[in-house]
Amino acid sequence: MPGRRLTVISGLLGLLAVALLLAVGIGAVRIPPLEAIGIILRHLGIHLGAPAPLQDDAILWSIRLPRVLLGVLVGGGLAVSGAALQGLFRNPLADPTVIGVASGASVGAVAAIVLGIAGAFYGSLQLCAFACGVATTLVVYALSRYEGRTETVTLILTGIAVTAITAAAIGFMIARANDQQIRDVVFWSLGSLGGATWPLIAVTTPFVAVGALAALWHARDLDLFTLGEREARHLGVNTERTRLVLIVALALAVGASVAAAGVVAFVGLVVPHLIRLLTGPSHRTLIPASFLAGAALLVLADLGARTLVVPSELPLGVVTSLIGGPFFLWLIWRTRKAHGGWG
Amino acid sequence: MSSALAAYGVTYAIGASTIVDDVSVEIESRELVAIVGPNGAGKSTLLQLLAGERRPSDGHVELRGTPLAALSPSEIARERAVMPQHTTLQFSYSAEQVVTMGRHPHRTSGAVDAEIVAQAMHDADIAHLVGRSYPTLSGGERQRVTFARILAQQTPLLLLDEPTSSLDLHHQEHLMTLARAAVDRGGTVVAVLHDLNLAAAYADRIILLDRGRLVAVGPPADVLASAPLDQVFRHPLAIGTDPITGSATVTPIRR
Repeated sequence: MPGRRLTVISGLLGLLAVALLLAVGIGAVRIPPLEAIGIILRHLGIHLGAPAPLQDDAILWSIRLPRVLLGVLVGGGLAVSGAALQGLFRNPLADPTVIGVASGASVGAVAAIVLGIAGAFYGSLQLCAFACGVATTLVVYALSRYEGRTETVTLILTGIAVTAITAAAIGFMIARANDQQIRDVVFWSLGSLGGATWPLIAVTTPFVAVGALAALWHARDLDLFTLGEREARHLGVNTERTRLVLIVALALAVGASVAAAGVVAFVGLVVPHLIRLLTGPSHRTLIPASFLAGAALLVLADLGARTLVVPSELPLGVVTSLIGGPFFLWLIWRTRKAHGGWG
Repeated sequence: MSSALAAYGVTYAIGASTIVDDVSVEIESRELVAIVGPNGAGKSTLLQLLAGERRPSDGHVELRGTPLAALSPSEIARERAVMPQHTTLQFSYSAEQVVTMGRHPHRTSGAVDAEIVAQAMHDADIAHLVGRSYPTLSGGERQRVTFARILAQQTPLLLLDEPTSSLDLHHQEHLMTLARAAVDRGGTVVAVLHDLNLAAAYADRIILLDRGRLVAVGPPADVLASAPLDQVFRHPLAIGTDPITGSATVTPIRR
């Protein structure tokens, strides 16, 4: 159904555009959509009509736009990773935590806060989180190899075991932290786009792009993986290499997302399910559609997070869980009704 | 001229137990070979070794004279298709999408694929299931969809693991007739079968396995008549002749 595919993708593109304009326009200072477009074009070197007030220009370009773009990267990256990992592991409950990258990144971030590395230089917390996240995934992958082969169930179980160890490490560090550090850890673990800057966007973009493009490149292979690993191999997929490429690329994307915004719950799990309802499970549609939907969802969730309880701000993870939890309940109920559950 | 598929001294052991023990067999083109034997004889494992899905602990398998280890997965996928016993899917792909996955090794255009897929679905008698979601199909329907996927792969060699286990009588005969037709067009089929009568009626040769060892290999009438079949299956059996086709029949003696 190529017609349906085009409809869904263009629909989601439209949704994302609307979300972006709303998110850059709404706040303590309102910036109408046309003025917002004018400011963005002016910074890109296209001058149309009278220039906007300097204050609006500064708010939009230096504060809101980086934040909104970080939302696009983080939401899109997490959703694509969730979609690809669910296919790769043939498991509808897989999300970016299964390969250990999120828990590893948490260890890195908490260590940075508690050991005081976070204040060393700009981005040191993010660097710690990213490095620990990717390293943890590589450890999980290495531990689950046996006689030159990796088996999916072993990989998932190894991920669970390693996640338990990282939870212990985090607990140990929290027990030794002071009150301010504990506040910082809690705030970080609930997720926020508040740290967005242009340099952060610049370093996050390539990693998210690598993950998203790898998933898109292997979309057909992912379809075959859902038949089972052996079947995929019988159909000519080099399963071992494909899995390694995808896991590393997705770990980079998730690692960069978590490092930039903390743990944003549910986006990676729920968005792919929502898209499958709309388009079916084929990854050639699922991957790009998940990116767009994840991006739009996170931009809107962040808009809610910073406007619902003005003048303070809700943690982003609270908003996404508030949307994702009930949606997931509905999804479980609907799947049970349609064909008696997932079993 | 090398065999379509050959095993040389193939052994497969897990820990202390030997599942397949020193099996050698050469399978030629235009041949339908059935692998039979009691539960735990190593039939499926032998098929998996022939498919390259498992690496033998000893010995090796050759596809048209080339060791499997020297071929890439995509090269192998253009030469042979494998039908597993069961395929479960967690996501609701349609029957047509599943059959289309069989086209993956070929990199042909969408229009060519659509034609081949439609033909395969027609042949496997599942054209009416085209838009149905795979997880909602019955066991027999799933097995026919999987068979259509194997046909759509268009390989000279088909390896089938109990392809008729969930099928009704009509579809069992239908599937074996299609396998026979593939052989008559120049292909090769190796099938693990539980039904000895099905094996006797359709196979050119039967491989009889017991506890991992090859007990007998040859034309059905010879293998079923000469081999100590009762001992292998641990049940008294009566060997007869089908009055219509003349092929050998096996009936368990019931008291």
